[in-house]
Amino acid sequence: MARTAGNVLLVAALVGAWGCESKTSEAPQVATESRRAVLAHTDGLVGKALSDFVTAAQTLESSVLAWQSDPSKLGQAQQAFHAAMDTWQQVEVVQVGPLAAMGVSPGAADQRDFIYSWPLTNPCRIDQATANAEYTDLSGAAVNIRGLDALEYLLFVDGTGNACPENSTLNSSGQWEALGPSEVEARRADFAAAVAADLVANAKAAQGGHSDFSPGFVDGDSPFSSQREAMNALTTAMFYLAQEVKDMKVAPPIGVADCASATCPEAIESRFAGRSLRNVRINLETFRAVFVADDTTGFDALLAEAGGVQTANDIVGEVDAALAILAQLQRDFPEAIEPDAAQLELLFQHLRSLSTLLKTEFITLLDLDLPAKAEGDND
Amino acid sequence: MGALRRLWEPTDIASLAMFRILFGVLMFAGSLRFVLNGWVDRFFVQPTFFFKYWGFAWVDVLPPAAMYLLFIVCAVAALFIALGWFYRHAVAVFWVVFTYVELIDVSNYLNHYYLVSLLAGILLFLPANRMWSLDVRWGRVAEQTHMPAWMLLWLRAQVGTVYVFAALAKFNTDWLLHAQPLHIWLAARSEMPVFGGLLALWPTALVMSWAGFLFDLTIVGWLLWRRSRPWAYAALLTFHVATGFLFSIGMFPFIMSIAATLFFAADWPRRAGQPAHPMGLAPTALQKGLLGFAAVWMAVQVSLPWRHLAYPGDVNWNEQGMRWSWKVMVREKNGDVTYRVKVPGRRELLVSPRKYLVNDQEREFSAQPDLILQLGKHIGRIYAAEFGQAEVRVDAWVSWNGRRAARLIDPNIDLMLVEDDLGPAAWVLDEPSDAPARRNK
Repeated sequence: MARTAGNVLLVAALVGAWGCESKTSEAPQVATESRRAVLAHTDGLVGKALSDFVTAAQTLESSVLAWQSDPSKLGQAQQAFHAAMDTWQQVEVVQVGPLAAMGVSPGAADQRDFIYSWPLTNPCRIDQATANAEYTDLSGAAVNIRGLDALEYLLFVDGTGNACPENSTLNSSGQWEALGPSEVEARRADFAAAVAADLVANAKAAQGGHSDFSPGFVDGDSPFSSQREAMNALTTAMFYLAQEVKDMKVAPPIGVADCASATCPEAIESRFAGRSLRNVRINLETFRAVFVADDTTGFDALLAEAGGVQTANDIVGEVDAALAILAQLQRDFPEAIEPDAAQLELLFQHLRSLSTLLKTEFITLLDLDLPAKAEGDND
Repeated sequence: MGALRRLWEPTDIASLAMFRILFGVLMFAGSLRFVLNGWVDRFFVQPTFFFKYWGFAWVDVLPPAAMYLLFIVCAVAALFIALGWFYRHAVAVFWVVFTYVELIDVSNYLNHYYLVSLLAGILLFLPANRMWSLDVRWGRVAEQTHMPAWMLLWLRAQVGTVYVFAALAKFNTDWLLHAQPLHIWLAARSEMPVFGGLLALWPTALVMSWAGFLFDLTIVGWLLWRRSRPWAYAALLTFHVATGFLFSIGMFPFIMSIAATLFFAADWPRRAGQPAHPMGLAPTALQKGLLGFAAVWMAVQVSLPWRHLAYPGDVNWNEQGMRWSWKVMVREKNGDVTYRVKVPGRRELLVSPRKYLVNDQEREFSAQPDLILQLGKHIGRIYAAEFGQAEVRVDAWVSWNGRRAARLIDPNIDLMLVEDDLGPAAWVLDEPSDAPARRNK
């Protein structure tokens, strides 16, 4: 019996050794040069964009405060909003670490949603919060009454009406009508000031979070178990182009997908500020800047190492073609939908081709997992 | 006749009893792991659409609480198997529950899950509780030191089938000449300390491709040969440790490591300790019937992996004959699928599979034609219900072992008119003819 027990222990120990061995893969590991260069290059871009965003958010807060005390300064506040949004749209394409959605990649903390929660935007909810003066303390508020999307509505909405249905309590109870136009304007300015202050705090938190996260990201160290996992996180973030940009920012407004009628202007991203295609352009430019690193190793060089020179060229070609179309367009959404339909369709086709390249050749050649798999034995 | 007689020769039952214990412990841990990792929610609660196996469309997922309960039942049954307590009931419950869970969604198919179902199915008929079990200790069944040789042979044949067909699946130019997909996989892991740099080299991938092929092809023989057995088992553990370390293949290395003990001498768990006392075994009618059943079982097992030959094209591309064939880790495919739906009075609409699938499903389905067809028909039915009729076509692009992306399915075919059957799929396009990619440095 003792011998039997010994044999059981032997097999258990041998098999168990595998389990122990696999744990060592979670230890910090030496990064290969090329991949580290890609991660460092991207990290530098994200760090710069977040730093710029803190500055832009502070300027925006000052401008909103000026508008709060002087309604004639709305234009300056709107300009400051555009500047901040320009910077933020760069970050949108590279949501890694604390910025990323929880469960998507290691170190994710949903920080992005507190700065910009599109597509969870809800103008009616903002009007309800305005009527109820819920903006005095935003620290525990839902993301759809905070951040750039809330600010966009408050700064750019036309008139003093509200976005809620006629039969909503806000309207049927007469609560909104009782406020009157001047009170609505005053409250919206107060609300915007509170959101701007909250935005600055969240921008600083994002910058701080990134600083803490940055070394591990570049070296494939904690919170990542390996450099490959960091690469997976980065690539998952860059798929923003295939999912959010192609499928949400462009496809529904022009009616090719997720649209119950011929076109869907209501699905436009920045419809109050009229800058949806401007957002798309910045997203593409940022993607390109991450993908092609002029002075160091980018994804293009990494693909070339993997025998995918043509794949890299095709990806850059599709991005450049999409950017060229955007440069030709004279109007943004929604005005562009009808007169520029052919160009917009072409834009969408380039985004589709780009998406296909990313989901097939790019992923295969670099052996990236999207999303991280539970386990497998048949691929 | 001599060979047939040898099938009934008394064989020590210790190896089988030990396998029962190890299998039960492993399945207990595996079932709990599924719950603790949140995979019940991820694979059975979050999805709203499930891919059906041909002939098993009637298998439906249960409510979330029931799914969690099933995994707990699975774990408890596995524990009872390990303890040998109410063994027959436990192994029957485990087999039914585990197999049911695997039949819920094709996109969850893994070769080693299939193997677990098969091993549990075989254990159901074997007297694995006749030694070192609570059933014996507490008098539920009489102790038995021996069993007919064919019983151990059945298990060995089942496990041996996995290795041999895994080797045959690697007998292709991508694997043996281009070292793909191993070259892609290893290069992505070149960050590993000490020898990581070697992994990025193509010759390394080529050597490892051949090593893997030869390992799968010959390991059963080395394990069966007494003189080579210790070295073979050490090599096997090294192989499974290495693959488990490099790739995310879950329980597979554990399962194969314990299954390999079946090739040891039948008395290995107690060889130096308790001498066995062989006794004559007169075959009963039930046992004879069971032997016949085992023969049919293995005939099916040996035949199924060849069925891809009945279909034109490369199975690693068109997937016809891919499942239940032990084509383990032989291809790297990533796809992009967009459906094009035409309904009366509307322009052609593009429909993303993401609307219907969770991430895991989307990744798995995007390179498998029959699953693309299933979802296409599902989408078509939804649109037809709203618009009266619907035509569904698909743009399905797949990159296979590093090749340029190519269309997997004819984009002009209306999927609503395609029959989902076992015949050759004319709507699946031929595999690309170019060679897979190779790293430049």
